[in-house]
Formats: sequence, C-alpha cells, structure tokens
Amino acid sequence: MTKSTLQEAVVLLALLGVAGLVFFETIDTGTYGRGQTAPGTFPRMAAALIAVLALTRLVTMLRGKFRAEGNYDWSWSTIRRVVAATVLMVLFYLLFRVVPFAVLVPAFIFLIFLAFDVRPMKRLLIGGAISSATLYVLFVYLIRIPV
Amino acid sequence: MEHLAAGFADVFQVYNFLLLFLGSTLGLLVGVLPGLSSPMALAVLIPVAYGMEPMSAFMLLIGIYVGTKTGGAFSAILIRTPGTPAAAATAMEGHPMALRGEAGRALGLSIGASFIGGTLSWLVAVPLVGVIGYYAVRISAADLAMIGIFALAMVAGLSGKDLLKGLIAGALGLILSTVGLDELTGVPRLTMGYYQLLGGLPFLAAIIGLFAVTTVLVDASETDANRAEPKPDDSFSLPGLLRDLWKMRREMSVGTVIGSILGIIPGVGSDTAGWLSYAYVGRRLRSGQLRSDRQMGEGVPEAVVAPEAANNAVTGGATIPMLTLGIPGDGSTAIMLGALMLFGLQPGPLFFHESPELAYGILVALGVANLTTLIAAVLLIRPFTQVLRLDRMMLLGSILVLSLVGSFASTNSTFEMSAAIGFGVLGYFMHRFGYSIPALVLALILGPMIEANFRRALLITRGDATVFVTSPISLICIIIMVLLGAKMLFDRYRKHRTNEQKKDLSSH
Repeated sequence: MTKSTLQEAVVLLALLGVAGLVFFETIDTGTYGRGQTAPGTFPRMAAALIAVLALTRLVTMLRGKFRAEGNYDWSWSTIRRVVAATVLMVLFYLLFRVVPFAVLVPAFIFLIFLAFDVRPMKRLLIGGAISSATLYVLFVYLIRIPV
Repeated sequence: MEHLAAGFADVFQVYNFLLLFLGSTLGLLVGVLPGLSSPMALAVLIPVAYGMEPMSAFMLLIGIYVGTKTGGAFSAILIRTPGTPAAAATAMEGHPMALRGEAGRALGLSIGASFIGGTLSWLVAVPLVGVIGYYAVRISAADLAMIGIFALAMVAGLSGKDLLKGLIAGALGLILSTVGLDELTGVPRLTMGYYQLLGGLPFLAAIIGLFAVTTVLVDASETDANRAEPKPDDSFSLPGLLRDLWKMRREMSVGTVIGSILGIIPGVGSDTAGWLSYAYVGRRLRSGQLRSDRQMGEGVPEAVVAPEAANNAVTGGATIPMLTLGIPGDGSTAIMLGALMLFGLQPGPLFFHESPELAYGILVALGVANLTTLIAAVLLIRPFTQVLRLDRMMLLGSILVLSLVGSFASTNSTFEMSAAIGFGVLGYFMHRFGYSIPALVLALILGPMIEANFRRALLITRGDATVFVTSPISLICIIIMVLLGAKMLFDRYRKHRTNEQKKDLSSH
C-alpha cells in the first residue's frame, strides 16, 4: 500500500467514524405519527449515505480501481506556515475580548507577516503599519464594530 | 401600462436616480468586504431610509440589494474571498484568472454578465408579474425537496475530479446543516451542548472559513517556488469584453434562465443558482461540448459568466413573490418586505392595486439598478485590480484579519470567529485530500430546505413516498438525475474499455 493510499484510507475511516457518531447519536428517531418523520431521521440518513459512499470509495481504492487524489506532502517546510497561521488565529480569537483592538490587530499582522516570511524587515514594518491602520479605520470608524 | 410609465418617471427623477446610484455604489463596496452581506447592509440602512419618502427609501435599498450581488464577485475574483455567499462559485474560476493576469477581464465578465442576467430576468419578470406570482405558491413541498437534491447532486457530481468524493462532501454538508434546533419539533440536534449552535452553524462564518481562511492556508503552504504569483494585469478592454460576452452567450443565457426560475422559488436564492450554473459549465466542459484548454478550477471564463448571470437574474424573480404575494425569495427581500411594512404598506395580491406608484416604481428601480451598478462597477475595476500588485504574503495576512473580524462583525459574536477558523482548517484538509468544497457549501445552504420540504411532503401525504414521483417537477428532476448518472457510468465504462484495449494492443 502506497503512502498516499494509506493517508486516503485514514481519511475515509475518519469519515466512517463521523458517520457512526452521528448515526448512533441519541436524537429521537421514534415514530411521531403517520408521515411525521422524527428529528433524528434526516441526520441518520445523511450519516448512512456518508458511510456507504466512504466504504465504496475505500473498497474500490484498495482494489486498485481508483487512485488516491490529493496532495500528500506533509513535510515541515510545507505545513510550517499553516501551523503558524492556525496558532496565531486561535490566539487572535482567544485574545479578541481581552486585548484592545488597536493593539491586537498590529501585533497579529506583524506576527503573521513574520511567519509568512515577509522580508526585508523594513518592508514588513511599513507594510504591517499600513495594513493595521487600514483595517483599524475600516472596522472601527467605517463599519463601527463594537470592539 | 401607465403605471409602469409613471414608475419610470419616478425612478428617473434626479434625486431618486442619485439615491439608486449611491445605493449601487454602497452595495458594491459592501459586497466586496467579506462578512458584510446584503441583508446586513439593508438592515443597517433601514433606519436611515425610514426618514425618507417611501419611493426614495426604496431607491436606496434596491440599489444596495442589486449592488451587493455584483460587488461580491470583486473580492471573489481578486483575493478568492467571496464578499457574499452568492459569489462563492465565481471565486472558483475568477481567482485563477486573476492569478494568470486576467483580473480585469474576469471582473469585466462578471460585471457584464451580472448586468445582462439581471436586466434580462427583469425584462421577463415585469410582464409576467401576475402569472409568476400565481404559480410560485403552487410548487409543492415534494418539488422543492427534489429541486434541492437535484441542485446538490449536480454540484457534488461535477465540481470536483472525483464523483464519490463530491458526494461525500455533499453528505457531510447535509449533516452539518442539521446542527441546531429541529425546525418542526424544536428538538436540539448535534449541538454537543453548545447553546450557540441551537440556531444552527453560523453560515456566513462557514463561507468565510471555507473560502477565505482556506485560501490563505493553502497559499501559505505552497513553497515559494510553487506559489502562483499574480501576473501584471492589463486585460480589461470594452471591445474585448463585448466580444467575450458574445462568445459566451450560451452560458450567460442558461445562467439567466436558472437564476430567474430559482429566484421565484421562495428560499432557494442566488447561492444555489450560482452553483447550479457553475455545474452546468462543468458538465459542458467534461462532455467536450465546451472547448477550452483549461479544466474546471484553472480559470475557465465561461464559469465566471454563468454563475454571475445566474445570481443576478435571481433579483428579478425573487422580488416578484415579495411584491405580489408577500413571500420573500431570499434574506434581502425578507428585509425589504419588513421595510415595506414599516411604511405601513402591505405587500400581497392587493399591493399593485392599493399603491401602484410605489409597486411599479420598485419594479422599474430593480431594472434600472442593474444599469447604475454597471456604471459604478466599471468605474471601480481599475482601482480594485491594483490590489493584486500588493505583496501576496502581506495580502494573505491582511485577509486573515479581514476574515476573522468580518465573521465577528456579522453577529458581533466571537463564536462566529471560532467557526470561521474551524471551517478554514476543515477546508484546508478537504483541499489537500481533493474533496469538493463547493459541494459542502451548497449542502449547507440547501440542507435545511431539503429536509424541511422532504418531511413536510411526507407529512402532507401521510407518509406516502410516491409523492416524489407523482409530482411533475420532482419527477423531471429524478429523471434528469438518473439520465446524467447513467451517462456518467457509461462514459466511465467506455473510458475503461478503451484503456483495456490500448493495453491489449501494446502487449501484443
């Protein structure tokens, strides 16, 4: 089994897991009356559909009828910026109500530019200042969001 | 007829026309900003409009309504961040065009198609206002459910490279669409104890996450050598645009027809129309009927034109049930319906008899707003394409803040922000493993409508599922789905056999 097929199989098994969790979630699926479907029926139908499709894909892939299609390179150089951006986004979310907007936005912008390798430093600083000021004016003075 | 002429006279009064132009320009700007939607802008401006004469107030509101539909395409094309959910389909092909130095061309095509789609649907809608209103309420629950399933199946099957993965993404979207209180019984479903999820997953945050945040993560993960840097753009010219539009008249016409029809059906809206038209172009490209040296996702101009024509054509259709029956076709028309009521007017069958000046004025303004939006948009093309001259990585960082704060601004809740991040990460993984993001998005849009009508149809018929094959529209949808499915399987079988024969020949 190739590395890509293995990764694809893991994703399909994860989907099967999600489908299983939804299918066995304790939403009422009892009978309400003639023709009245219970609130759990539709999610269960969708979960069953995912399970059938994921199993079909898995079996056909393992039998060699389908090739795994996607980008399976997870080397650090590929995902370094993704990890950094995700961590910074989560921090931005956690600090949004704690740190003043006028401090948080420039800090986030500078850090994300740093993580995205914006260089040289002069460009990073000037670009960061302009971006921060523009976003601040847009959200605080034009759209007037409550920050 | 004299009411229609009076409507034109009212709209072309200098003050009213300027308000319409102002509304269109504002709408374009609102549409460009991710997270700010047409209903939100309308809701914010209703207090301002309330201080005006009803006709002037509606000039402003209609300008915004039509302007946002076009404005959403600007950010979709330039930074792959749809300003409005309806522009999400446009982002799929418009942004790759921008990356290869055709941002001006893509923007021109979207504006031109928006104008033509919106105007044609309006020209058809005005004479048929009474007839359409009569039939719109007679579409049954079974028909609505099957139209939803049809639209979803088309997009799931045609928007990605792999049919099964498209369908899996669609089914996942259907599950996610059931999160929240059940519409019919009020039972909470899949909320995992979060009260914020009782109202369902935040749709706008989902769109922002799946398109804007995902784009940033995907672009950021590309190594510098692999990343597609936008090329300098000088691709917009009026003669070129007219030539392109003429060449793509078929896609534009189909988009207009899809948008006009779906606009009339309450609750379906412009998002579905855009995606369905996108899927139509995908099908033509795959079957070889449309010749292009590019695949879907690589910047096919026809797939910019069709969704834009469709989502603007919705405006003509969507306002008709609002005016004639008091039924909103989408979220924006629901707010305008509320605005009419604020002015003490009752939209419905008697509206055209009781307030003909205003009713026909609104009808005329809808058509003229396409023109004012076109003028404003053409003036804004060149300034907006300058966005692509910025450093890509700096732009990506700014898009992240714009997306996160934009999702917060939609409801002033940080929960939306966390949802945008979550959907962004989900979208990144879907992109990496080749699962169709459009299919997931359309399922989120259509899921509630499909489920509600599916259950309503069974309730009405006391559990008789044959209603889905005895109702004509539903039956037509099923037949088309079966035929297209059979054709797909046949094509795959034929391709398989050709490959086998080639193998045999080479082994001999």
